[in-house]
Amino acid sequence: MPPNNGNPTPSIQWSTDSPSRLNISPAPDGLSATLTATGASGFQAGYDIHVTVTYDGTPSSPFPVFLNTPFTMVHGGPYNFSTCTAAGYTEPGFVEAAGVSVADLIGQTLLPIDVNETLENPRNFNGSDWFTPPPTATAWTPAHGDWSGNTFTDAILVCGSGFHPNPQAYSLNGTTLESNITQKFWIGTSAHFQGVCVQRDVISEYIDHATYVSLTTPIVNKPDCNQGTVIN
Amino acid sequence: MKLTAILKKSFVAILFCQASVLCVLGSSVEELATKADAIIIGTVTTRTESQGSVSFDIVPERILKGPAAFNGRVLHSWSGKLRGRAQTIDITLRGIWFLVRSSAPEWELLTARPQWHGMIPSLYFPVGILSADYRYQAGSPLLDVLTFEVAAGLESAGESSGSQAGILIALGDSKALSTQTVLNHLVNSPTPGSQLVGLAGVLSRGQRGSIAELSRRWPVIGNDANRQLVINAVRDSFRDTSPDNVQQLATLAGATSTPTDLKDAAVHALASIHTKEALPLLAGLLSSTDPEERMKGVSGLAAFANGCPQQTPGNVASMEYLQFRNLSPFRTVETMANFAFRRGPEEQETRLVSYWLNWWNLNKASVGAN
Repeated sequence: MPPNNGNPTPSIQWSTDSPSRLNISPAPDGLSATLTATGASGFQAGYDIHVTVTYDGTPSSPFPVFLNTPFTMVHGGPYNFSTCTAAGYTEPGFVEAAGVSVADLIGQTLLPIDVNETLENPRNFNGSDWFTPPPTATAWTPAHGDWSGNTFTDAILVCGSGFHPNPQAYSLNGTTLESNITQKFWIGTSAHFQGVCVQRDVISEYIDHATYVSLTTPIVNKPDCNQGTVIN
Repeated sequence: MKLTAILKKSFVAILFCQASVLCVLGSSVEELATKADAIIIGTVTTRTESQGSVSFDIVPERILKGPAAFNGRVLHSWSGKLRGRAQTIDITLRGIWFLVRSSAPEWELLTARPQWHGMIPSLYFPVGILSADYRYQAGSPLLDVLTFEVAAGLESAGESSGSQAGILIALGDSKALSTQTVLNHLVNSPTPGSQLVGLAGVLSRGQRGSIAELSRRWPVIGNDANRQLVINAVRDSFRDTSPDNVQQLATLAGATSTPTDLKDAAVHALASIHTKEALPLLAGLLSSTDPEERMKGVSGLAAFANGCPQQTPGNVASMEYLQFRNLSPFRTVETMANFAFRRGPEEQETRLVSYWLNWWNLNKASVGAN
């Protein structure tokens, strides 16, 4: 390809086997085209998107296109826990901070990128008032210096004597659930429920610690992250 | 013609949904020193904090940069983690503060420690006692002063289970002599947690002999809670191409005593580096029973043969490391057609593994790998 058949006005058509993920805008002369991603390649799917150019009826070999995307959260960065006093707050209570990264379809961790969380369905249990009022969602923006290298921190702070019941110093012993909430992480935007959803979980708070439960990453089924789809 | 040129490329990569990456790499001391209008060592005794902002006065002890006399109130807007109504908190905080002028009468603060996002420690570095290694002379460059002061503060802070890991963030990718001094001090510390932080730092910088040092110290640091720091440094940052360092990395990856997570990190680094010294180990992976390892071998050999740049943190978003940018005497129509960099359907993987096994057998002598 191309056959170079001497035709001064050849017929050139561009096509793809994945029109839902790739939009092709050929130039007027058909000799080049702008490819715009409207979706992403599949996970562990090798070359799963192809483009073919047909020149005066002769098709080219399909050539592969890879469409990358933020895909998964990587938990494995620095993990910290602390007393409230050490973190500059009043006792009683605990502070926890987990370092997380975002990886693409190939598994490479990304440099700082806009991340936004959404928090839905805050619930209190066993007479607790920990989520009254509900917590506010956080955005991590590179321009604000919210990242450390390719890691950002998702933190919980429950400190002070204004709660019912009051929290206790960090340990993993507590088993009484005080509150929980559905958390989703969105990449590439600071707008709620926009961008690429890469993780869904429930933050569960106990009397002396917090933890992620029902954690799903990557999000293979996009409706899992729809607004209003909660798992707590 | 243009069409021909396009079609000759066996691979086209487009980043879907790429946003504002490559702009800020976090808050290193070097960046903070550049951005700050004033740098103060001082004390805060009381503050008013809410989810939207925190405000306080700093009583200065030393002014490292900025006005000769500092007398200002600080108002910082943030997405704070403190729940409920605004509170007045009377806890003394002694630290190094990085301030910028704002349009308001108050000073604004830069985020010093993003790992404490939305909490008061994010706004300052603690102050500690300088060890002998960190003592500096009057008139030393500001960056050296800050590097030693911040390292001393974080080493002694004990604010959390992982305070010392913050040193790596504060140092950023600095290669200054003062940074080297701090990392060597940590590597030679008697404390495994400090050794681990220091090793992660020297590995990230590809320091000569750092892989051998990691192998030697792993029995001591391998059980530390923050061992992932070292594993991440090997996997994502160690990209030194000097033959002895790459061979040490291959030895680490091939040793039966190397734990799985460290081995995976070393293999990933070797595939990313893919110099000729990395190839024997990568070729050996083609016969692994683990399909993930087999495809790592494929991606490393394919990147070498086709002249791909090594993968670094800086070219992930552009995916330049997947393009045939460098000259390579081994690049052919066939090597381009068999270029691969990730898992795929079983029949596709089987064909790729077979191709690259055959390619290695045909080319290993001319590659010149030991």
